[in-house]
Amino acid sequence: MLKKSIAIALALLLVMGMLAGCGQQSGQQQQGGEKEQGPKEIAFTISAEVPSLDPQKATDTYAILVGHHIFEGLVRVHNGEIKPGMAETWEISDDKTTYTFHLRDAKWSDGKPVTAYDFEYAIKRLLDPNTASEYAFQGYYIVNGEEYNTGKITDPDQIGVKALDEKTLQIKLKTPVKYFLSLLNFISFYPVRQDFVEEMGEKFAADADKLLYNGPFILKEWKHEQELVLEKNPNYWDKDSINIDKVTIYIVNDANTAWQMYENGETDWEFIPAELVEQVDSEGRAMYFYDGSEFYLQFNVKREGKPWLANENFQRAVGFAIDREALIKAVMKGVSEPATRYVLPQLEGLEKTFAEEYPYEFYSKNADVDKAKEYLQKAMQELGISDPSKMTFEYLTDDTQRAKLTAEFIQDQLEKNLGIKMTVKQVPFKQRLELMTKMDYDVVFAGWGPDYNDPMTYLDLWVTGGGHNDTGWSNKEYDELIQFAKTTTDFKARADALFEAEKLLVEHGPIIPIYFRQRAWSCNDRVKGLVTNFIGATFDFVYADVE
Amino acid sequence: MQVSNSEITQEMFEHVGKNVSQMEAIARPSLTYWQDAWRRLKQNKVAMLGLIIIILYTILALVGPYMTPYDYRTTNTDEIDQPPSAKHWFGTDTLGRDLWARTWMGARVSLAIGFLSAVLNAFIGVIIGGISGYFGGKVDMIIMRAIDILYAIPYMIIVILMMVVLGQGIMPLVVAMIAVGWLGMARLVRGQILQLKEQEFVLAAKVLGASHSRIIFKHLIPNALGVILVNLTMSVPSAIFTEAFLSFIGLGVVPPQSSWGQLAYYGIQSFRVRPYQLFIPAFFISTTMLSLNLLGDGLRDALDPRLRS
Amino acid sequence: MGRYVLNRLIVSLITAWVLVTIVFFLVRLLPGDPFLSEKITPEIRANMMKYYGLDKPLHIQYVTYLKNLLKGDFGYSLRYKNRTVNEVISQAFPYSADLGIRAVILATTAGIILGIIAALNRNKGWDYLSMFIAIVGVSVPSFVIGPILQYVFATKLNLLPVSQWKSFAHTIMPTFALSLSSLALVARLMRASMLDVVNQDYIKTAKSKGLSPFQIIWKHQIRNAILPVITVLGPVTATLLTGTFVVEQIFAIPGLGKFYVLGIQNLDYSLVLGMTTFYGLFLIAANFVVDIIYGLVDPRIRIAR
Repeated sequence: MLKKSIAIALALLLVMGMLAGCGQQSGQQQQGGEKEQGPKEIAFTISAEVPSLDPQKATDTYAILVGHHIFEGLVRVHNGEIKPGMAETWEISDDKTTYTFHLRDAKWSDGKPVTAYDFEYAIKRLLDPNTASEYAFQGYYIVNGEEYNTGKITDPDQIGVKALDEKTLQIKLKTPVKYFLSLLNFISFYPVRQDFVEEMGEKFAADADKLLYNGPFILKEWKHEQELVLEKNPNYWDKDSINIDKVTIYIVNDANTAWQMYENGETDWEFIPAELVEQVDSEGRAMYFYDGSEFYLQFNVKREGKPWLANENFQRAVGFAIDREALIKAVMKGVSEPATRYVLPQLEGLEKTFAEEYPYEFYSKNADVDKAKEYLQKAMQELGISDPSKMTFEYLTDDTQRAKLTAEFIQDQLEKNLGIKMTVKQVPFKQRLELMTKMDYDVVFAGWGPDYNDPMTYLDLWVTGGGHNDTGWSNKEYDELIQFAKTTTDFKARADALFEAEKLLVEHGPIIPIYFRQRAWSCNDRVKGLVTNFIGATFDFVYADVE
Repeated sequence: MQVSNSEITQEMFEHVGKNVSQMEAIARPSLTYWQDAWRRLKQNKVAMLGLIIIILYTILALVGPYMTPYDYRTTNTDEIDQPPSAKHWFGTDTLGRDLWARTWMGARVSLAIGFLSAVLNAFIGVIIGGISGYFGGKVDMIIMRAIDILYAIPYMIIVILMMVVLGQGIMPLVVAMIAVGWLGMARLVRGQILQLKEQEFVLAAKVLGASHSRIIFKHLIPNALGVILVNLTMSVPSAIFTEAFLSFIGLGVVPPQSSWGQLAYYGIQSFRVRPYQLFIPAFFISTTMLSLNLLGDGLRDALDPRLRS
Repeated sequence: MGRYVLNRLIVSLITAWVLVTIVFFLVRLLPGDPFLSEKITPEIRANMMKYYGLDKPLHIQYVTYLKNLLKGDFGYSLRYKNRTVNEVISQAFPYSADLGIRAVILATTAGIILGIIAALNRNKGWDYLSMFIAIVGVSVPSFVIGPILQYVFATKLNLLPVSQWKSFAHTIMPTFALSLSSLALVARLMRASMLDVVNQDYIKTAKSKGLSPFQIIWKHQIRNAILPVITVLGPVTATLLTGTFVVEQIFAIPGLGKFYVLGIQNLDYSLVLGMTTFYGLFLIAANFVVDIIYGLVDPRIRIAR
């Protein structure tokens, strides 16, 4: 039953790209209808306080969610489609490195116009080392962006971003970046106004009245740790397309509490706690979407005293010994998709998704014990080891309940199927990252979420000396493929190279994909036109409506 | 013997002579303090029930996992989330593991953590509290302020640091619990000693030339033992609770081990659809607490000399 | 008395200073750093360390921190950008204090009443019932009782709101859940000390004077029996008022409790230090007040020798 509905949900996802709204009606269709009585209100919960809404300092998923609705970048991505935002039109040069944007007449919430200077200031602010922005790397595509941020140059005017006049903005990139337009929808590139930022100083963005808004909504109230209240922005250029008048976002840490609020009708949509998915699904109220995260096992190939960790056949043996489908069924209650390849299937290819254009399945959904044993035999021969139980390793993971269950499942599978003894080390999140950075681990259960809609966001992690490559793995061919993909203007050749790189990584690299995460959620029927995304704002209610 | 009512004759009496052996005999059996306490504890049915339950759980923790053919670690995805049945007495968990086996393996962890940390806490607390109370003055002030400080250091920091240094597992947990667990006991013992040290028997011991350590450990502590024991039984539940709380924030025992706290924490998330996954571990946590509290109450009554009859 | 208070004040300040110093260095021992995240690059991380002054030698950071602390400034949170720890605490504390005060009042009144009832009916039905309630109170963890309350009263019976802190109805379940264990503690203590007092000579004197049982209980027994309760009330109040993680999380109350856990998980050094200092001062003050109340209630106790 559950499997079937997931299959249907999956089919829907594949057909409709990322769309998975309640009702799936676009908001614009509602436009022009008669005005209903009373303000239209919706409410939902987020699980933690938004640490910062300062566009250039914000990093977390809730800031991205809220920011998507209260700010607007040069473009607006809605339902996977790039639409004009603050920029009405734009031109891209033939070498695909110079972008010229022409801004529309739009206003900040205090009535002053949004100008190209606000964007220039925002991007320079993002890259300014004194802003100490964690996501400054998003600006490294721009000429001299990285150099300025890392202090190699000190003159901000050398950065490749310039307001030619109030209405025209020019951005120069180092290399052609296929996904640059959609990247401009990312929170780090939202505009801020210099005079306001400087007036607020350290207090900028600390409260609702210490921010300026140019998006469809304004932040009316921000009761820290409690709730955020958004209201329709009367100054928004496209305000006629916006149907919702008021949005209340409650901050509720506990997933079960949040779910009960939804069940009591206090909120309009909610994630379903794993334990309840089966029940809610049987009532026909469950929906599913990919949230973009992928989880995999990552081997430390430079581990002293444990040469098997660097052995390709050993890695493959572990990969084939794990029953991904059973893991998902038991730990995630069927929500998520077994990862038989590395690149997230939803990511954009040339025309369709990358996965459709380059179908590939290396690992099986269920455990393939025979294949696993075969690989293990090869590994043992190569290493000169006769007893598989000698090839122990420690599995590093987070301290959450789910992480523990996953670890216990994998532990049992490896012992049962291969006779490999694996111990588990659970540590707090920061400590896990620290151990990974120092390469002080054997195997780690790690995850990655996409920064932009392109396979590169997953693949460029593993180049030699890459900032996130904590495996010690180094492959010259792989490095060359990625380097080629990053510089070529031939997007077909680029996609081919990325696919070659993916195969190389899955078949010879230190990464064993386990699953692509899905989230199960439920939504009140009265809400129409709500969109879920696997990248950017998890929920997009810009054009949503209520009955 | 039929005799007329007013007549008392000599025949009615018999000379028995001195019976030396019976003269010095003590009519009531001679009982030490402990024997007496044990006698009175035995009369306290509620406290005995508590004791029996604890003993029962301890035995089950030792043999329980072997009473079923299922291993506490073995997952089985064909049998996930089964309700209690003849096959799986307590049902199975989300990975299809037998919950009877996991409950009693968890009991080992919870009870071990509970008793071990309680005993070690008491040991440290008694020594430090005894010294603080007996010497008083500056020593007392410094120790008491040190306790204030330790009390205010966020507990999680200590637990995480212990795990960094010692790794994950039962021992680091116990050490982390001891690091701050002795504070309450030390305070309590200090209070008792402050009262006791003014009493005559201490003066007598001093006059007889007893050393400080002899006075503390041979005279003062034994007199405070009742209170100490009671507190000890109460601190077992609090250690089990602390482990449960640490599971709640993700700092528990190492997989695939379980503990009652872990089981209950998982059960909380599923109790709407599978109440047994919460109620079984919660039942054992609660009845252990209950038993230890009842036993503690009973011990206090039994050890109180004023209530001796 | 004045000199005693002054002495205690000085000692309290030294205690607070030692506490801050220890925690200052302890949090730095925790593995990782505040800016470590999945996406960050080493250069940007170094840059952020520099921006927040965390690249300087530790002893210089310590001196700076103490200087600011003397001005009452806990510094900027490392996680909640552009917000100071003072703001974070002052926004969250009222909720925790509100909940805490309610819980303390419920725990003490209900606890004392239960304790008295139990003691006056020793070894009778009422005694067993009260103590049963008390023991159940300490026997069920709050992370179990909270969700069950929610499920029964909010989801099934629809009598109370699930969570949040808005009206009186919102306060009922969290107050109950939070007070339960303290309530039990107070009830047991009250019972025990009531039974202690019964055997004292002055009760016998009062009886022989011909006072009514009610007068004896009210004027002599309860007044004298309440002392131990006051002693434990100090730390209990400090803990309840400064927030509790579990109850606040379950009922989505925007109080301080979560910061003890989140601050450490995020390695938000300034937040952890601020919270510790705040709680430490609260604890020290609470113990201090308890000592003084103690002297007022019981004339036999002279703290100022």
